[in-house]
Amino acid sequence: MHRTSSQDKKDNFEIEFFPFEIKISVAPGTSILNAIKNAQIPLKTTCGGKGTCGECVVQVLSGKYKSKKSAALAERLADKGYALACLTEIIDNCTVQLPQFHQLSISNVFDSQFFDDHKKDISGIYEVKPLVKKIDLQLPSPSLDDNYSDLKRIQRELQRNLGVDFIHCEYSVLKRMAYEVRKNTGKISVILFKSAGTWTIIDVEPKTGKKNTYGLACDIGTTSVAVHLVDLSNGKILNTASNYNQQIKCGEDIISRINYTQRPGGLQELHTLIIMTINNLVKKVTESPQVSLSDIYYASVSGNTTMIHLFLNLEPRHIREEPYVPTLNQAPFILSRDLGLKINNEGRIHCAPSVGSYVGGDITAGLLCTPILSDSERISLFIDIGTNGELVVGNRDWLMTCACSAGPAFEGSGIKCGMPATEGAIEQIKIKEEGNLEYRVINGYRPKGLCGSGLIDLLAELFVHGYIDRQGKLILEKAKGRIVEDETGLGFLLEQSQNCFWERDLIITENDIANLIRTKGAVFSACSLLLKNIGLAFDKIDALYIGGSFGQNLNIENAVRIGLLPDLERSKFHYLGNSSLLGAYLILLSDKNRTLVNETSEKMTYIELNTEPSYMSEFTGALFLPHTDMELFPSVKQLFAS
Amino acid sequence: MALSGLDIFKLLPKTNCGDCGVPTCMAFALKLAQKKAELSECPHASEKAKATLGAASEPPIRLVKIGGPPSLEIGNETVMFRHEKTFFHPTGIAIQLLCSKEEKKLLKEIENVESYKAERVGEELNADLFFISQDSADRDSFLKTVNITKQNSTKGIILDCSDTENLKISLEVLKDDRPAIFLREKLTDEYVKLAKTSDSSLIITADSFEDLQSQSEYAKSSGLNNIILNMNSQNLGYQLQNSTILRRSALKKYFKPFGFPLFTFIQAEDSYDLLAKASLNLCKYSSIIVLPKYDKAMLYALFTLRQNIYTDPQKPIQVDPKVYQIGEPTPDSPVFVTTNFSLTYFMVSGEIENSGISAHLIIADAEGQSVLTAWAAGKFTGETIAKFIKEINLEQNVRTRKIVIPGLVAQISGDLEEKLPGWEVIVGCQEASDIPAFIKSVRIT
Repeated sequence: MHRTSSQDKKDNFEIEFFPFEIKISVAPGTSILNAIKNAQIPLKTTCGGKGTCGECVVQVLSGKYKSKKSAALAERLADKGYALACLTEIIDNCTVQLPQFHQLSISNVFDSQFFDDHKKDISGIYEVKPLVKKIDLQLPSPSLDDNYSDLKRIQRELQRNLGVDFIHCEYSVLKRMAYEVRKNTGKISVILFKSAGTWTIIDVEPKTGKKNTYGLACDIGTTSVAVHLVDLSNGKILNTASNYNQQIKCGEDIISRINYTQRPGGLQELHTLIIMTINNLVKKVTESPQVSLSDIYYASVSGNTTMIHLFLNLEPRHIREEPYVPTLNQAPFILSRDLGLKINNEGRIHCAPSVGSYVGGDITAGLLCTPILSDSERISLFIDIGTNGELVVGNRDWLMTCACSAGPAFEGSGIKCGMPATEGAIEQIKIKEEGNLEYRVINGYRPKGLCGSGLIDLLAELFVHGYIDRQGKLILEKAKGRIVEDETGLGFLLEQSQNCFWERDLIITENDIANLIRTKGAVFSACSLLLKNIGLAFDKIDALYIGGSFGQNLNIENAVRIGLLPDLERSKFHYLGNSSLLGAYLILLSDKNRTLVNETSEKMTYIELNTEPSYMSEFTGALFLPHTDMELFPSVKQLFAS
Repeated sequence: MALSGLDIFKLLPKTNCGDCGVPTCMAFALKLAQKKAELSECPHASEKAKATLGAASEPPIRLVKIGGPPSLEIGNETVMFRHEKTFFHPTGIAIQLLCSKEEKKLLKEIENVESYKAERVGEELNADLFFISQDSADRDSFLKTVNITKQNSTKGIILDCSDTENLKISLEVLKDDRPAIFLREKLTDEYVKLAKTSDSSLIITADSFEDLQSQSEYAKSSGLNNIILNMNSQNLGYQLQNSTILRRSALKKYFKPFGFPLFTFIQAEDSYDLLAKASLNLCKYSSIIVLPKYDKAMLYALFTLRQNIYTDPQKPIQVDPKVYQIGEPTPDSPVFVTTNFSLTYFMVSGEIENSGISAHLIIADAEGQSVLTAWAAGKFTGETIAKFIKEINLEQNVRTRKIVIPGLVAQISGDLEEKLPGWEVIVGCQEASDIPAFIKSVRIT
């Protein structure tokens, strides 16, 4: 329980919502659900606040509240501070966790098996040569004979040290220079940043021996944002944090966000929200090990074109209007203070370059984690499945790319039983002979829902074992013991309430299945259209790299069985995990990667599927399991024949 | 053989210099593959590239021109079915003129065809060619008919005459008119010479594929390029089969001897039979059909069919953006708004009509896109709708201040209310089929 003095009105209470870290002030007796609505957090409730659906469950972490009991919330949970937001009144300052928005946790990039195994043969270079350099100097004391200025003496030493003729210096450093130089009898640490071949002094301080330089790798997703804190002296990732993009409250997809910027003050608001999200994450990663924010000099950011525009506070509306032209594809280095990013004031920010409005820096950065850019023989396909699906095909000589709007189903959004790959998510599921389900939950607790990899498994298992037909409709005869029905239609019972975390039945509905099929259909049809455009057959693809937030493991066999991925030799598939973040990390570490990714973005050829008349028929053809044309999936055909 | 984008890319310099006006060599290769660019636009193309691409860029079915200018263009099709891409050159419709007829009657017939005027969806429809047949032994009558036709019409002419001497004179009369010669018998050197000197196209006739192939190859080797194929068939069923085989051979197998437009003379017992046969040939691959006589009703039916078949399915069909009156609306009747994609318009107007009420249906300009597509492209937003409503002075013409928007774009309701002060925006249903139920359950006035 904490009372702060910064209350708007004397008798109002302050309520803070996690994971968003949004604080608002409300009148006593307000229901938490109304407070959530006032905070504009898009919490979904089926019953509309009657206390029957149990979906608005929250966990009160601190503060007093008054709650009515409901059959929709288990006693066990109520005892642990869980309550239904619609039936709970605030009578104190409170902090409240919203479980519908899971506390995101992302794993260290070194958990990416592919990266571990292929550090040597990916296109990006794994070396620690960042643009930020710390040089310790012992300046000779000035004398009447050696009466060069402070700046000149530093420049002289640095020129010798770096073997260059010219060193630039920032004004803010000059203002402190006389003082810093004399504090420790000429022993100083100088921080330099190299851009366009020139080194610039961006910081000078008395040498302490403890001084280190840090960098950030940051992936700005439409749904979630992830940050690595990196020690720039050795390339080690010290800490990692991830959270929802706070812009979610202004719209869940890119189009809605762009629309939002057209309101007065809308762009500024979205910009502020993303900077706030990142600042909160930076605060979190610098808590342990404790790192001073002013020691962070460089941030490498990747994200789709719209996210980068919002991050830089640039007008995004032309991204979605024909002929789809963004303000920029390659941003120059931006100063942290211009954006309000809370790192060193002279900190530099690099954004991974976009190819076009719908293929962004998350993709170009992701390519660094594959061997595609260094391979001149084989032809590879890179698929990044997020809210938008993006595809790249080619090799060192040529690259073609396109985007399709897949929808967030595999990220766990828009599916009743879906959730991100975090604690409590079923990440693997199998149907046994007798019709029993066997599954694995992340962190081994009772299941809360299914993440992307679990959903793919489930769809494939239901299909292969004959519980659903090729259109994704439940086969009543076969599934009869597990069929449930509610106002939205039929569903398949996965787990009974008493075995689930929320003590509500875990159900996948026919609508959810249709949604998943649409998503996989969008990705597959974009794939086949891209290849048709170039005149390539699927079997000409030598390697296939998949990025996305499905979870730790993606069952390739099942992804093929549902028709998400083409039916190729299984040894050709490689699952990368969050390739955008990994790419941002590689760019942070080495300038060669930055150069490579910028060059790459310029030679990629972008195909606009919007104007492709056959997209619709390709898409419709892919709306079956695995596809209308079974010949495209010989291994699935054979499975059904046997 | 058509080359794929990747095949072409391998022949290009791979420098991504951008001198062709396209940012990358791959993008340029794709444009070449789609025949949307020409190799000459690349200043750095190698001789090898030019040679290889030149051969590959020949169309699978040759473009042939008759008459004019403006001449009738036929052939150069690239797909079997319209939905695969589009058909490019509509079937030319020819009217037969028999030279045994009296001059008066012939003149009347020509005048009928010439004065025929029909307009459909903004396009003027008319027959394209005259097919002049020498049906009497009287040599002069043929020549006379050719002369009459030339004097009274600008349409292209096909000559159906077995008398080579007569043909020669006729071709001199038509020497600048790019006529076509229809052969009832096997192609001979004499015909080749006639066609070459007069720059006419040649319609060759055969009873079998083998014969057609050998005549076509013979014509080609004699230096004739403008060839049209006519295959005699026992009945309509065989005709469909033969035309399909010819088209498939040209498009799928790149079989050069059959890479030309097709011709059919329609012979029928009565007008129903004629219409059925003409329709089939128009749909299935004839580039020219000849009708034995002028018949207004018949022509209109065929023109309508032709227009439907040859409309580009890639372009959304639009309706005019304006206020449409459904039933007999008063100023107090409800107001609906949707986009000008024609299918959207037909579905929504139909369902409002089904509900039995009268209403004002505002069709806003969304460049022919459907509701969600238009919304995603920023063409159907609060701003664009409000602007359109002001342009059409809706506020002066209706008293109601409620407007129903499609349920699929519920998210624009706030924005629209802001931009249209004084109006209440009602979010309608997502599917047009739910409109009658929606109207019953929600107060919309």
